Amino acid sequence: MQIVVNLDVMMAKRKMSLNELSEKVDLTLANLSILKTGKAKAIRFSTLEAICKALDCQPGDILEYR
Amino acid sequence: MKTKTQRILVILHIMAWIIFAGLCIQTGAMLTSFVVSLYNPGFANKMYMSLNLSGLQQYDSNAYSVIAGFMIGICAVKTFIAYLTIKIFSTINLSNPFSAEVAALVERISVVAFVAGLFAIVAASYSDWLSKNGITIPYNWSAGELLMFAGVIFVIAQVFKRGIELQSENDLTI
Repeated sequence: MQIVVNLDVMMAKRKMSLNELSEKVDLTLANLSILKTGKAKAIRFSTLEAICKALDCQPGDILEYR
Repeated sequence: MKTKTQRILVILHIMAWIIFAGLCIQTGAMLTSFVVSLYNPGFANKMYMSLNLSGLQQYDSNAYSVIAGFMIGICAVKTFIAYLTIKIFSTINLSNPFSAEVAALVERISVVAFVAGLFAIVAASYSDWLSKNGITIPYNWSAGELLMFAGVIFVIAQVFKRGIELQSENDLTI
């Protein structure tokens, strides 16, 4: 049981590249990559809010509990 | 501009080098005077820092060698602790101080100090047993201090490890 980050799925649905998302949410590619690969230990509400805004989705679309 | 802590660390680094050099000299002097006393028994009354072990040497040369070995061994271990302290200063990166390497060094210091404390306890017990036979050994083994030091450093090492965990969590917070 763990929290899974479905950022790549949402990015594919919105047809958005990592570079484009990185510019929109003002995060470095390295940090976005950490988040995408599930290596991140925590995510700030401000980051989650920016990602949801950029991808036009809900936090539940990005984070999933399995 | 350097902060107060950074200035203190620079001073401590210099002090660690001075202590290391002093302990190296002490260990070397003890070892040399012991080796000389083996060939020249009269030298046992004027060992390093006016330590007089001539009574012990006349009583039993094996016991003399054991006690001198403990003294040299404990002194060498203290020198090794000073060396590890210098190594911490050369390893530590003040902009990102909580590293696994530094934590391992701090923990190693506590283990080495604990071993030195155990050696000192054995040496002090042996020394007490010899004093019951009328042989006084004018040397402070400071076993309790070494064990206390080891315990405190071990606690600090564990806190340091927790610091590393927190730093890595912080680095992986997006």
